[in-house]
Amino acid sequence: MIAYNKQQLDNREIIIEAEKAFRRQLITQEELNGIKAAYPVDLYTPNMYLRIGLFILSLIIGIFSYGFLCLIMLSGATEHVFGGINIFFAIGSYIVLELLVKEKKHYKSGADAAMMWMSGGSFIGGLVLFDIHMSPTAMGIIVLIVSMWFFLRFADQVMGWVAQLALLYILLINLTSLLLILPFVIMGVSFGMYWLLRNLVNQEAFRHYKGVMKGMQALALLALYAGGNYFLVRVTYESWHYTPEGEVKGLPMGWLFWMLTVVVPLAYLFFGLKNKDQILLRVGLVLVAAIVFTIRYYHSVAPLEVAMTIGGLIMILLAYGIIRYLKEPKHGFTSEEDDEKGTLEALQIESIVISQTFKTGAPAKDRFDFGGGSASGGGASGQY
Amino acid sequence: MFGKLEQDGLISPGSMSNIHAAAGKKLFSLHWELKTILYLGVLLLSGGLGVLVYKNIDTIGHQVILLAIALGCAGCFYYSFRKKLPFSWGKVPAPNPFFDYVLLLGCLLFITFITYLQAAYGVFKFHYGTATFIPLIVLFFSAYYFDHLGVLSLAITNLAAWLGVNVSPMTFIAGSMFISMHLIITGLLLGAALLLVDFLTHYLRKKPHFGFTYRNFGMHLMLLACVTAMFISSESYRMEGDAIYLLWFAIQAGTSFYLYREALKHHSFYFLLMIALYGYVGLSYVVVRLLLLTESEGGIYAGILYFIASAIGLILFLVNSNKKIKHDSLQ
Repeated sequence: MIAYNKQQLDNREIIIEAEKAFRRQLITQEELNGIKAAYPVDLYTPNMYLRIGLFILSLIIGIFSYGFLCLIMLSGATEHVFGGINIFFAIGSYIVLELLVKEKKHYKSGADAAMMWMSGGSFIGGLVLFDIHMSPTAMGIIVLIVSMWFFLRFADQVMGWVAQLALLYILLINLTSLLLILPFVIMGVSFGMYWLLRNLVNQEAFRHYKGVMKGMQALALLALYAGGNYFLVRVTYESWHYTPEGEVKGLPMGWLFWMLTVVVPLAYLFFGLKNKDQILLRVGLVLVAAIVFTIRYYHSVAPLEVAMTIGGLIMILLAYGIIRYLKEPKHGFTSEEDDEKGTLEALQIESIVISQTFKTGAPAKDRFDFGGGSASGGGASGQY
Repeated sequence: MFGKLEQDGLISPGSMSNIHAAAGKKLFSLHWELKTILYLGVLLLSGGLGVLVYKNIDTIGHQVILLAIALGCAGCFYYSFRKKLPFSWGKVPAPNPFFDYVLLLGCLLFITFITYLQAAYGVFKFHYGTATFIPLIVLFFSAYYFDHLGVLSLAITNLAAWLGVNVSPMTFIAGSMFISMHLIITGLLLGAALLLVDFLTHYLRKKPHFGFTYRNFGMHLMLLACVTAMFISSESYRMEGDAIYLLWFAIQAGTSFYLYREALKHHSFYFLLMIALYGYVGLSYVVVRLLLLTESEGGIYAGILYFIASAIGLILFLVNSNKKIKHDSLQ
């Protein structure tokens, strides 16, 4: 199923682990070189900036080729002709994609992502042009199938996310009549996805999707929360539920959704800490902000600036307290950074960082600190 | 996995026991989470206080708030002076995990304080420039004295604001930062000055690790100024002759060439990519303008073919440059 040479992917994994061990000074330079020689990797994964560049430029080439095609065929401009051009273009870029992967050994090089997007996008666009009155459900199913294919074949993170969202979208538009049952369906399906992904991650057969599946776990957790969030449920409910007197205001069983709004992130945090699961922990932290926003939207406890001041103060003191507390590692936690670039790894940006560090001896000094400008403020002298 | 490597004789038994030992005492790191919370806390606190003071400007409470800001700011700087490691012109590490954040908070509060003094009491009368100039001095001093890259970025942003150019990351994205020729020229000169500072930073060996920040701001300012100047030349500057954009293109080409050599020197692919993309926009603009002169259908075809061919060319250039940088760095 997967388009890449599995041996190559396994070798890559070994080299990455060995590099980590080398950076933590567990193995020597000679051993590292020996491992690299024994497990050669000729996959092409350039650094992040080159990937961005390749992505943009591949898109430019694709878009202008498409324009050129259209220009030539302009004479017989019916919807079906345009649909045909789209399908042709989709097939063309898919062939290029396969060639890039098979012949040029591209692996997450930016160019392959551009080809995936253009191929998938124009394929779906072409089908829509052939049948203008396609139902949203049919659209959703097509998107799901296409993105699923790209995800399985190229282990692409974004395509995995698209597949998840397409699935939720199909449920959402088909089960509108369920009204207040729908949130629980969404939550149930999201939980099912999370549970499935968690189990598949550790399966030997799915080892090449490991990083991608971690990113998908995060999205499943977010969807689970969104399903029960008071604000989202109420807004959706009000927009769908019409009575002869007009729109309904308010939400029955509101207390239940308020409870879900507050409890779910805290549960994430709890289980994240308990199981030492980085994904749960980080999603939980992000969602704490969602609790605050949801509550503030309906109950203005304090004016914004007061809330900001107090919130900022609490956050500083909290972080200060925990760092102090963890000065000596306790319960298996530490506030020191570890070598494994945690989030980055979970979100599949790992390969970029790795490819940066692959350049042995390359000075990292010029690595652009994202959030540039005045926002790059904090921890500027801390090593990130 | 390492077990297999050991069997193959790729890892010595000594290293293997290292690996086992490390795996045994592996800790779960909360570093990233805590730092993020700390940073957001600093931003929220300073932002909240700023708005708070502004909202209460006519009430009695504002003097209390002002006092709180002044005390907080003084406290932060007192802490920074107490804890800092001895000054040097090289890189100085932070003495503890909080130092950077305390200093950042102090600087942000100081800006709020001065701005407020000006707004409420008009301390600097009509010298509005002074109100931004004083924080500027403090920011640059703090950046160098305490060795803080974030404060340096803040200082450069403030310098630009003082000169009337708005350089926050958002305006970069919105692409709407230069509106008049006057601003473009200011941006160009400021960018050139920053590049000069970058050069001097390395040449005089004074805080060479600050060079990246100067170069980054300088590059974006100069190249964006050139590109924007070209784009607005088609609207308002037709009077001055149609070819004025070629002059800007020449300036951009010269700047890019200098930056290209710098990028190779510092093995920075980030700069190479940025130069290439700005250059691509500039070149494409010139080509399209020239093709428009032909006023024929062939021009459209030629334009499309140009874009396809030039993008392929640029890809080849970037891929090869990447190899070059990698190769150089292995020496």
